[in-house]
Amino acid sequence: MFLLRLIYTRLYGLLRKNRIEQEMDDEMRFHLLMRTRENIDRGMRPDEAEREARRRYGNVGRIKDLARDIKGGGFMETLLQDLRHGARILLKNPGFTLIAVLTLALGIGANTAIFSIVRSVLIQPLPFAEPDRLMQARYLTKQDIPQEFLLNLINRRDLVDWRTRSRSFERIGAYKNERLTFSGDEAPEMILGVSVTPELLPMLGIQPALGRYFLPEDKRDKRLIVLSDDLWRRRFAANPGIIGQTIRASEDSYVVIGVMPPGFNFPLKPRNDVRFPSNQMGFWALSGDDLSKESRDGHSYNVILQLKPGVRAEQAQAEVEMLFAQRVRDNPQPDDPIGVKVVSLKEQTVGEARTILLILLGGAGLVVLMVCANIASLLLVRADRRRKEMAIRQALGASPARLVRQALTESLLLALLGGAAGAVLAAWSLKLLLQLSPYHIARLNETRIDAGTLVFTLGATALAGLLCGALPAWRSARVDLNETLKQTAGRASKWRSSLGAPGNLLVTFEITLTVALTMGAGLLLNSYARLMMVDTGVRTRGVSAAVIPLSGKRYPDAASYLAFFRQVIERLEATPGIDAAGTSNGLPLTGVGNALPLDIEGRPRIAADAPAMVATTHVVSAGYLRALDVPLLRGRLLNARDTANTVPVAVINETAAQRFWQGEDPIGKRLSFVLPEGKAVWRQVVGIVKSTPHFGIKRKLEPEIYVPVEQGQWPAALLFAHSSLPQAELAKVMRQAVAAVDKNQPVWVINSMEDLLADSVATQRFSLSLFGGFSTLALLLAAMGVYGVVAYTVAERTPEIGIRIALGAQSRDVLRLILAQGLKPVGIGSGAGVIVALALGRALSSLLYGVTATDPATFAIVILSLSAVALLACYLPARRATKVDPMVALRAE
Amino acid sequence: MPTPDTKLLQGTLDMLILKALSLGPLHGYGVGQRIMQMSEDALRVEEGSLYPALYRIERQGWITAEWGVSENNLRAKFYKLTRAGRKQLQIEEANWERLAGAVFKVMQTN
Repeated sequence: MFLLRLIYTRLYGLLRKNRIEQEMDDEMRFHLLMRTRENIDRGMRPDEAEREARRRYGNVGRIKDLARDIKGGGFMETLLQDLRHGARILLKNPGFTLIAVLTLALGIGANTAIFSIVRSVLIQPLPFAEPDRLMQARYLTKQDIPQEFLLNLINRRDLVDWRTRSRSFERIGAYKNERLTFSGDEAPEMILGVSVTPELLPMLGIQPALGRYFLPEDKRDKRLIVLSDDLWRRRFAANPGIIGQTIRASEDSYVVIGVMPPGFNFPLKPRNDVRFPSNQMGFWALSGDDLSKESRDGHSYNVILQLKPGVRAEQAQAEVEMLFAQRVRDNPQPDDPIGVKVVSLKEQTVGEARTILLILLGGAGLVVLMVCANIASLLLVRADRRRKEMAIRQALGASPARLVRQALTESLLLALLGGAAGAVLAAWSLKLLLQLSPYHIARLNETRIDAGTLVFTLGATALAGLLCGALPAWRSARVDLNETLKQTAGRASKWRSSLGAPGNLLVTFEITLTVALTMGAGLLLNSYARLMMVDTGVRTRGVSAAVIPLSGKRYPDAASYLAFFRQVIERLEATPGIDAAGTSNGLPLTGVGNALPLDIEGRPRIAADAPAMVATTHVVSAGYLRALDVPLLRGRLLNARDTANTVPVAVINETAAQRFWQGEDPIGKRLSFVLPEGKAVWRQVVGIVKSTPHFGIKRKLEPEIYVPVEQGQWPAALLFAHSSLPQAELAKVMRQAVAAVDKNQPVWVINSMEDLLADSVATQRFSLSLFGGFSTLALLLAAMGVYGVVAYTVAERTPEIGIRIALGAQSRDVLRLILAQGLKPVGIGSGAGVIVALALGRALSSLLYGVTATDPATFAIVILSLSAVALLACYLPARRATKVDPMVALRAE
Repeated sequence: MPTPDTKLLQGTLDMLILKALSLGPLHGYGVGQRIMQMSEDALRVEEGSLYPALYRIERQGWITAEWGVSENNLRAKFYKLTRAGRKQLQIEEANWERLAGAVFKVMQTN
């Protein structure tokens, strides 16, 4: 209220200075003085004379108001007059104003905050030079796996093929995820970065702040590196002399040739698997891979392609498809994907987030419409009460246009207050919203409330103001002069609801929106509940996973890293509260792991209708299966007796058994991984375990194979422990155990399995919490809207109800009368709402899990709960109607 | 709240004001007084109607206003008939005579 009062005072002060206003005051004073003198001449006492003069002059403010309407004046003067008038009316109804401003602030605030995210993520071009020319290629696979997984990355053979033969692209660059350990005086730290081909940074077109970036002629034998501004400041004290110097990282030497400007980052898309404290890459190292010739080494790359000027994306797609088809025909491979797709880098970076962000923006938009409808219905009631005033002003010469303008100014003022409060609310809640957002949405860190966002807010505010005010303004201008002025009492019409059609229309509209929003929330809630009930197959409670990529320099062979993990595991298992610890190379529920092509003994490698012969391979110690409590279905688990010197074995999951052995009993059968180097190792299947949704709980089950780390061909990099200790405590113990075995070995990151599980449904949780809020607000507003209109109708119809009761109507007749009238728009609105919800449900379908967009149970529950709320909102005023005393009501006539 | 004077026919008050001002510039108070004198106290113009009417007529361009000094040495706003106002007064007077004559005839008929 303080704000309102302040604005009022300011406006009033401004107007005091206004010339016309001043003149009007002076003229009135003169008039009163003359009248007083005349009265004194007639023999009145001075005080009596003045009182009489004032009384006769009448309501000063009112006359001035009317005069102002007539005088009109310039545009600004009229505007200021209207604002002042509006402010006064708003101040006169603080309850109404408070609710209107508050609900508008919520609606506009939610829109502003979500729009600021949409703008930075989806609308702003990528922060590179000519971002429209940048494309990324990815494979299409048979499996249902997220796009950034290894299987979707481009194999070296295709990369080399495209680089030599394609004509659509100016340059083709590639990168791979890397990490480096920086030690020195401080604690060892693992830094996220990428290795890049020399073309990649120049393609992005951002010049280094210091030094240079890679050139095609840079020799691959020297290890060259470009640092991020952040890493340069943090670990190298922002030393400008660093260019050309050799630094040590991960037991290797790197020559620093450049430092990128602050804020530069590439790739922008956060990794989808493990959650890192920050997505800022620390370095871009020159890739040591020789891409001049083909090779079957199985290396996979993220491939960025820069279109030649004038080449369209479809042409590029067609060319790459053709090259791929030729390569597959000439040189087929067992792990060949089914196709290849070239998408814009922007689509690749933020495409996943588009649906959810647009849905949320749409939801917030519906909320604003809802708020507007609600305020409109409240204003309508008030406009109705002011019909007489409007009639008088029209009689005195104020034009209908003038009245419409004034009514609109009032609602715009209201919207402006709501918008300002909304902008503040948005700025204040944005941080919370960003925290709630799924972290793997790219570019969230660029989000801020800036001028562009505020332009949107202003637009939304103006629109909201017009929407709120249009109907009431139109009503106030369409007053029937004679009818209204003839009526003596304040009541406009006694025998019918004068609110009539427009009031019911607004209630219908509110109910429609509420049903749609609540239905969305209901479907999301239903999906989320189902997701929460998905069997993860592995234990998540109390399990934490530490990512510890060992340095190849200090742990060059299997014996050394096996010894490292054995010692750490022994320490952990000796710690009270930890009952199992183990190591693995993969992380369940995140897709982190080695997906390998495989051969089944006695089966041709490539068959026409064969399923994809690829399985996620977990290289694990026996403690891993215990820590994650992987349920054994048949045969046996891996144990400590499976060593490098015993028969190579494997445990497969149910899905692998079904897909690869289709009805046969896999136990005792043999399989082998297809590896680029070394001879095949045939492994005997000794057990079958339950499948886990390795790529996330929303994904299908895929084949998984567990092999003992002692017999594994790859090092493990993850440490798991199950404990009754709190997560933070467990993480500390794990770090201590690693440091006790090797103080120079950093732990990259520790995630609890529960957090990882939560992250995998972050999108669903985020949309559910926002839609939950939206629909709660909508329900409240709808209840308010129904209540407001019915209560007003009851008040208006009191004399009629009195007569009905006097003529013998019972309480339940009156109740039925009012309820029937009040619930009619609710019924119509619910019907319309179901139709809108069906359309909305289709948009939501990508966020749904286990329910269809037309889920009848959800629909039924939503309609029932809405009906209950509406019934209550109708019942309260209707009950008041039954209490009408016919004598009192009729006397009021 | 005083009910604005709606007993006068729409436009009649305007005509009376123009007539009052046709005899010379007056301030608002004086207009009211003069109409009262001219009607021999039969018509009392309420302030709530007088000033809005003055402003409305001013806006039509039939009268102009300027500040001056009143008979008792006070600062007051004086209204003066313009040429357009004089012409308008003639039109309204003619109309009124026709109307009043017609009404009179009707009322005379038995």
